Amino acid sequence: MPVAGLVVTLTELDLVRDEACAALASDARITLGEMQRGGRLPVVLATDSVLEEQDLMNDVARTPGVLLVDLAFDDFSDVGSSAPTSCRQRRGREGRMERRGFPQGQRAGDGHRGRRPPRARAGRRAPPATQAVDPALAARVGDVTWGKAPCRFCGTGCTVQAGVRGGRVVTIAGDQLAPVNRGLLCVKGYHVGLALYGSDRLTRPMLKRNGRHVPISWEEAVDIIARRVIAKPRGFAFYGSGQWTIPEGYAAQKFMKGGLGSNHIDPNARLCMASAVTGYTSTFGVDEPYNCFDDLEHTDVVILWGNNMAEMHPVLFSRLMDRRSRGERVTLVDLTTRRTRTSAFADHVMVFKPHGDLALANGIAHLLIANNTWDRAFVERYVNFRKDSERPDLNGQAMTFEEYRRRIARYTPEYVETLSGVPAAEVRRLAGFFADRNLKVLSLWCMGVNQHTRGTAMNRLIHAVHMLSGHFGRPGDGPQSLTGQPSACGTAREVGTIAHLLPGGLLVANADHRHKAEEIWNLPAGRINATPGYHTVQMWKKFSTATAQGGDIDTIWVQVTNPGQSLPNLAELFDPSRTMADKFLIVSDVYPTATTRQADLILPSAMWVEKNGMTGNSERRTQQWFKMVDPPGEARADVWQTVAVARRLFDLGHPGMRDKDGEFIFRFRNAAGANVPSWEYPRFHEVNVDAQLFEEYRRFSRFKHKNLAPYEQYVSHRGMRWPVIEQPDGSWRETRYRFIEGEDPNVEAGKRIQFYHSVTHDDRASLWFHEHENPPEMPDAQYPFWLCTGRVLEHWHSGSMTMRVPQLRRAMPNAYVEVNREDAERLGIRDGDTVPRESRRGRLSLPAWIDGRASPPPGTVFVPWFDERLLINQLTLDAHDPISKQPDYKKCAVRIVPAGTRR
Amino acid sequence: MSSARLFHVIAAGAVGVALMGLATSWRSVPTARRYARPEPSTSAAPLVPTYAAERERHHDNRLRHPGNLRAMGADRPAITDPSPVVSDERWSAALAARTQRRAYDGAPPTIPHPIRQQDFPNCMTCHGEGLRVGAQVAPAICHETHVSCVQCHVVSVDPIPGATPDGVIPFEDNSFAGLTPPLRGERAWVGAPPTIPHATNMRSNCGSCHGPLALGLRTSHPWRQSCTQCHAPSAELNQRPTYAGTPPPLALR
Repeated sequence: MPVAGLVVTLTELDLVRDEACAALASDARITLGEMQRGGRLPVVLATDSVLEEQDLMNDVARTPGVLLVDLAFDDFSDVGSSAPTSCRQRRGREGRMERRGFPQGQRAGDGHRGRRPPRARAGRRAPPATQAVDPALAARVGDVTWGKAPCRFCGTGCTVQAGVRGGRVVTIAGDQLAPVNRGLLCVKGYHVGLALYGSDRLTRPMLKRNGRHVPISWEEAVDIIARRVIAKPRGFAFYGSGQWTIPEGYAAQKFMKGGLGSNHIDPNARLCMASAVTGYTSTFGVDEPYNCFDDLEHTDVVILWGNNMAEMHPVLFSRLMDRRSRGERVTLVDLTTRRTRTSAFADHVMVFKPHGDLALANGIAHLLIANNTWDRAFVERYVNFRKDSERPDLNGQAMTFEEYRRRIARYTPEYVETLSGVPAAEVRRLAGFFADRNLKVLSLWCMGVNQHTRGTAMNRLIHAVHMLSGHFGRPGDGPQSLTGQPSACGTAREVGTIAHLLPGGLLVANADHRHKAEEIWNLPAGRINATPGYHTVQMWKKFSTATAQGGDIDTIWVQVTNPGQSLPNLAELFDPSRTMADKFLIVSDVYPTATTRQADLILPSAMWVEKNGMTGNSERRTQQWFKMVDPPGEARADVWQTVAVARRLFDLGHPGMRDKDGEFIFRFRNAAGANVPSWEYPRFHEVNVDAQLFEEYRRFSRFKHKNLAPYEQYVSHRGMRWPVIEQPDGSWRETRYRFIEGEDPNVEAGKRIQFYHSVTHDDRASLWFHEHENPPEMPDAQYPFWLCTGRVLEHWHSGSMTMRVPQLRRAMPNAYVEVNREDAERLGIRDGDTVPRESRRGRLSLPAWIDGRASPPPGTVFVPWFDERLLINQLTLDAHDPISKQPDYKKCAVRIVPAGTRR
Repeated sequence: MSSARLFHVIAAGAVGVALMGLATSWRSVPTARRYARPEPSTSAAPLVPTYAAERERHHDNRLRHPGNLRAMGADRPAITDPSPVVSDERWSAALAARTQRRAYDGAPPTIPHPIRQQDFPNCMTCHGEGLRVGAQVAPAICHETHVSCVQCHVVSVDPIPGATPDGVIPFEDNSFAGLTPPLRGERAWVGAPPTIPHATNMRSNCGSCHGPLALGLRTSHPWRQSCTQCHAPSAELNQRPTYAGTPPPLALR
């Protein structure tokens, strides 16, 4: 470090102080860029306002050999003196920067750091600055390769353009021609490229030996899994994800149900949209929304059923709200249990008590009937009434309209007010929107309705009020559920990686369906097991129960998800297995998570544009992307991992890995038609494994009229909504609205609306009746608060990706507990206080935020679940919907133990 | 002492005096006095000022009251004001400052000041037309308005009460190296208008970065308002060509 004492002022936004600094330093000003290139020892003078620029200062602090001096002007009398008289070094701040900014090696050699005072040198000017920014990183036309990919995060399915240079993603842009997002993204989408580059990516397979994870080879890892499977095939379960790409999920599905003849495969989507599935199937006979996001442009009134859309589906929310900027009228009705950012945009905010949504839906139905504003023509032509059987199940039993009318009659607005807490006048207003046939009413919902012990019932009731009122079928006029994961629809629901499903909506319990699958997979008859496998909560409960006590699952392979954080009631479902010697947990992931830390075998995976992929968003839109960059280290695509294990089992002689003709169940061919051993990693990228798996899977899609187009169509489109039907001219046409004549080619001419998968086989949908019911756990004297959990805008799922993006982490650094101001005052809680909270299942201390990002009503607290260091799922309840088996994360009883009053 | 330096000292001094004046004026006008109803006074409380007096006071403080948005708006340089040529130094420093607030060029900048987190903050009050707030510049919004600013722009300071920047346990770093702002546009010949070296998607208001308020990237001719008349945008950066063989989205009924 030859030259000391060069002075750099970092006050460019601050004219006055900049000039003052210049006056002080008088001679030498160079820029950050020059400093970085010069290899000299500059002194950085920084004023208060600049020190607030944490990004900038962290960068400065990272530059080797910089002496950072906080030049705080206490008053302006200092200006003009020949040396900074009030120079002081900010030890605390600087210390943090040093810790974060300097790699270990560089720190050792930097002896002068923090001790040398700034010294202004007189008489010589520094050479004039050239470029402040590194020209090597600047964008130039033509040197960035762009490619399309759906965003990695939520179920909206925005298309992004990822810019790649030098083998790395360097920039992201919203795809302007994408029908979903039209060029716009949310903050997560804009930073999706950064999710690849957290410095603690998993890069080598690791096996737990003597309590420590030690690196092993891929061959060894694959062999360990295969040998555990072959030793006890029925004890092996696959726990997948709505973040699986379609080919990944399909490979796992075929490996389990077609290969091992086992149905113990379930996705984390069970925790997020299972109730939507059971709601759709029991109402329309087939899963997934009949409508699409185009509704957002056509609707007049949007009813949000417990959906904080401004934070959870921000791009769809802008699509809706931007209409107001264009002068259109959109009425937003926010049915919610806490006032959120969405409420701020809403025309009507109706805050209801947990489970009050059941009463609200029934209240609407009652008023429609009582005021004779229900749509008689629609109901008589398209609907059968249904109610629960003795034991709630998917099919229920028929009921007459007279019985429906009689039973709904008790849900008067006044009665609904006592159940839901929403004033009777507001209930009337809400029903009024449904009563007006001239309005187009769109219902949207997501976790609030699905993560509900009466989730299936709530889904059915939303469909019911729409059908009863005839608000169904027109663009902008209908019920539409949203999803939270990028391929909850595409993989979990359509590929059917669920314990009771086969691809394309077929059922394992149906002999004809099994036969169809065995035919496509060329398997001997009877290979597919007719008994549904364990659903998520069951699977993990069995895994956490000792084998001797009936815990018959002893190996679980987790891909693309984080159950150690996302399962409810972790102390019962997850933790016990970790102390049992014979339970073996395999996890494929990209970063260390709450799950990998507990895993016996960790497999490093490729993510997003490090591999080919396809996903399906919540409007039935299937999207495709190509691999753009290499995965780090030895990380490999999940689909390769599954196929490689299957091949190892084949080599070890597992009979299930052979089809009817004795061939391996996964076969990949090159253009010449020759077999390619894609399970050998050096040859994995030789053919497009995704395309070949997808073409095979596509054959399943026609059974339930979910027709998919050939792979090549998805390459050239920004997604297509199924059913995609080939036209006489050879083109492929997507479908915006199913069951609607003129839109859906499967509807017979003249039928107008045809529910051709009707559970009653008469082309009619089921209109369900459900009573209001109290939740299984409610606040009482001992545990007086409701606890609701959920997400925040900045973080997605368990935060394993978004917490590694500095911009997102800085905006939302840790979990907190949102407390109502009244409660806070009563309990003596201040902002930022650490508040211990307890449920019957666990205890957790969190910093308090009074009326934080949203404001809960008195008696309710909210905690986001993204923070693996503050695991709120130690407190949540594992009570679940009896039909969908989806747990309720949104309500359980807790108590707050303010400091000083701990028991 | 050089004349430039003298000027700087005087300028800095003047601003200091103004700020002190502001502090004094805040202290001397308690809100209670402004809004109290005139009642038959039994105490020695001062009388409510008349509207005229209030107007006078307002006028008085107008130019040195940074809390007064209208005053700050008036403080905004006009596009017709003389616009000195920006030095290379300042230009590159401005680019460096931009870089610090963005993950890559084109990413939504983070918010360098605290905001109200609940509903949606009134961003457009300052960022609608742009303002100078003290010595800081609040740039005008550069793209068409979307309703929810905080959907893309998130805070980089004071996120939640009691938060440390790293939370309870620091996470590892991130090695993403994003594109930095582009260098100068190309000129066909000396004196030709340079091309626009960056995408113009979401940057429809050139004045946001190149207007009179901007210190480093300011245009020398802010009064000319039709920028793309002379400065050509890039079709490629604006995603105009489709990638190989891609037709536009299906035209549906």
